[in-house]
Amino acid sequence: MKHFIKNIRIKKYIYLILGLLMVSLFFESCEKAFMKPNPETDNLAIYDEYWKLVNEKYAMWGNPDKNLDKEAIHSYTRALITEDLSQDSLFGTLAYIVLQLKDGHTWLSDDLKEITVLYDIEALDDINLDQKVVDSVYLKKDYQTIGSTNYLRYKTLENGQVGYIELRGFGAVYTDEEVDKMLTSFSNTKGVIFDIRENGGGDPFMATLFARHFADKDYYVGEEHFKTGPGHDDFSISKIVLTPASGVIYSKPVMILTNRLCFSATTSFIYNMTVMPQVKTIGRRTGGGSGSTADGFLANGWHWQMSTSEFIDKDGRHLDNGVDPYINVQLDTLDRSKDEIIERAIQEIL
Amino acid sequence: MKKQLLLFVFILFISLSGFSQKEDSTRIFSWKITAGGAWSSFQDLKYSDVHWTGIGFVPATSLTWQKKGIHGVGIEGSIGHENPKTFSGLGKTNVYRGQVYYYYLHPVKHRKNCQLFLGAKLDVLDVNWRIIDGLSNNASYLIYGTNFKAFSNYQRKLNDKWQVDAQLGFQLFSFMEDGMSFAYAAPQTLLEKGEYNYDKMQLPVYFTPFWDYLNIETNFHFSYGRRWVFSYLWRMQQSYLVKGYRLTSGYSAITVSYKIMSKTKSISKNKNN
Repeated sequence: MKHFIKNIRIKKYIYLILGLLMVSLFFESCEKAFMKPNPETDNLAIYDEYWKLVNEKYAMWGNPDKNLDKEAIHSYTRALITEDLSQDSLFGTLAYIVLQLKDGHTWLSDDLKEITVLYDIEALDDINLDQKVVDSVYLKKDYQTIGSTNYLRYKTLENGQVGYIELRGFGAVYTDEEVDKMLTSFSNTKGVIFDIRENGGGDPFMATLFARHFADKDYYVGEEHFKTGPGHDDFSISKIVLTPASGVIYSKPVMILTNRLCFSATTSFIYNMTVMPQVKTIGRRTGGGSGSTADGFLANGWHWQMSTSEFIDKDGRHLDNGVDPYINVQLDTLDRSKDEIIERAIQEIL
Repeated sequence: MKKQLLLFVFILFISLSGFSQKEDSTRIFSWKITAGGAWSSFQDLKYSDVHWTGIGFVPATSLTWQKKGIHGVGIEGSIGHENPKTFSGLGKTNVYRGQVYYYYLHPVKHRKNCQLFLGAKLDVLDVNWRIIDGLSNNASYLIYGTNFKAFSNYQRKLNDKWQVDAQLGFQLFSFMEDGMSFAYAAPQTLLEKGEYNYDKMQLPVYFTPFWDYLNIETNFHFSYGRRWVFSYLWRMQQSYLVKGYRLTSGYSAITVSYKIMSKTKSISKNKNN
C-alpha cells in the first residue's frame, strides 16, 4: 500500500512536469502568433514583393538625371504577370525594372542558376586603361605595396619628383599607419598621382581613410540621403564632413586618374578628395554608383540589391551617373609606349 | 535622461539588495554550468516576410546566491543555424546570441512549499548577431543592447528531491539598437538623426521603451536534488524601431545544468514554517 501511494506521488510529479513542459512548448509556437505568415511564392506574389521593395526602398526615383517614370514602369510590368508565366519570363520582367533604373548598384540575381541582370556602366565609354603599359613603363618591378593584397602599389617617378599610387579596389583593409608609411616616402615629391582607374569600389570607410590623409582641415563634402521609410519623401540627410587624419597629411598637388569604371566607394573617394583645392581629376567620366546599397532575398530565393541612399555633393550635383574629370584626356590605345593620362598628370605636377 | 535612468536602476538594485539582507534564514550558493539545445525563428518585415528557423547549441554558466532574496548573475550564449522557410540552397544563416545578466528576486509571499519572488533583471549585454550567407551589405546583422526587465519567480517544492521554478521576465525599457535600418545596414535612429558618417564604425544605443521593443522571457527550471537542473527557456523579442515593419525573434531552449558548487547553510529557523 505504501509503495502504491509512493507510485501515485511519483506519477503526480511526472504529470506536473509534463504539463509544465507542454505549457512551455506552447510558448514556442507563441512567437509565430507575433509574426506575419510566410509569403506565397507564385508569380504575382514574387512580382508584388519585388515591386514593393523597389517602390519603397529605391532611393533615386527623384534623381533628375535618371528621368524615371515610376507609374509607367509599374503598369507596363504588372500587366505582363500571369500565373502561367515561366520562371525565366518572370525573371525577365523583373530584370526590365532593374534596367530602367540605370544604376550599376541595382541588380537582380538567380544565384542558383548564376544569372545576374545589371545595368552595364562599361558600355558607355572605352576603358582608357592599358594595365600592361602601366606595369611595363611606369611601375616596372621596383614598386612597394601596403595592405594584405596587391591592390595598392606605389613608387616615385621622374627621379623622385612625382609620387605614383595605383589602387584598383577599396576591398582590402588598410591602416592609417600603412598610409603614413607610404606618404612619408613621398615627402620629397612635388605632387602625387592617384591612379584609381578601373577601381570598382569596395568599402567606403577605406575610401574615406585614404582621403583623410590629404585633408589639412575639415571639409564639408556633401550630404547622403538615406531612405528611412516607405514613403516617397521618407529620407534622412546626413551631412558628411571630411576630417583630417591624425597621422601624415600630404598637402601638395594630387592628380586623380579616372575612367568609366571608377564606381561605388571610388566615387566616395573622389567626392571626398575633390573638395580640396590641390586636387584635380584627369582622364574620363566616372561610373558613379553614389548610393549605399541594401540586399536580400525574395521569397523564391532570387537575390536583389539596390541603391537605398543617394549622395549629393556640396555643389548640389547628383553623382550616380558619374562625373566628368577636371581635365579630359583619352588614352591612345595604339601607342603602347606611354599612358597619356599619366603623362598629363605628370605634366600638371611638374 | 540615460544617466538618470541608469542611476535609477542602480539605486533600485542596491535598495532591494540591502532590504534582502535584513532577515536571514537560509543561505544558498550555487554555481552551475549548462548545456542544451535550442530552436529559433526570425522575421524582419523590413526586408522580407519569410521566416528563418533553425536549431542550435546552448552553453551557459551562472552563479546564484540567496539570503532572503535571490541574486543571480550569469552568461548565456547560443550558436545556431537558421534557414529560410520558402526557399532552399541559399540564405543559410549563422546565429550567435549572447547575454550577460544580473537579477535580484525579492520574496513577497511564502506559503507552505511555495514562494513567490518579484524583482528585476538587467541584461547587461544582450546580443543577437546573424551572418547571412550569400548577401553583401546586409550579410552581417547585429541587434544589441542593455535591457531592464521586471522579473518574477514562482518556486514550488514538490518533495525532498524536486523543485520547480517558473520565471517570467517582461522588459520595461532598453538601451538598444537594431543594426539594420529600413533600407541600409546602419541603425535607423542614427540615420534619422542625420549622424551617419564614414569616418568610423558607429554602434550607438538609444533609449527604447517596451512599446517599441517587446522583450519577454519565460524560464521553467526543474531542480533535482542538489546538483541537477532541467530547464526550458523561451525568449521573444519584437522591435518596432521602423514604424510598420516589425522585427520578431523567438528562441526556445531545453537545457541540463549541473551545479559544480552547491552550498546550503541554515542560519535560523524560518518564521513562516
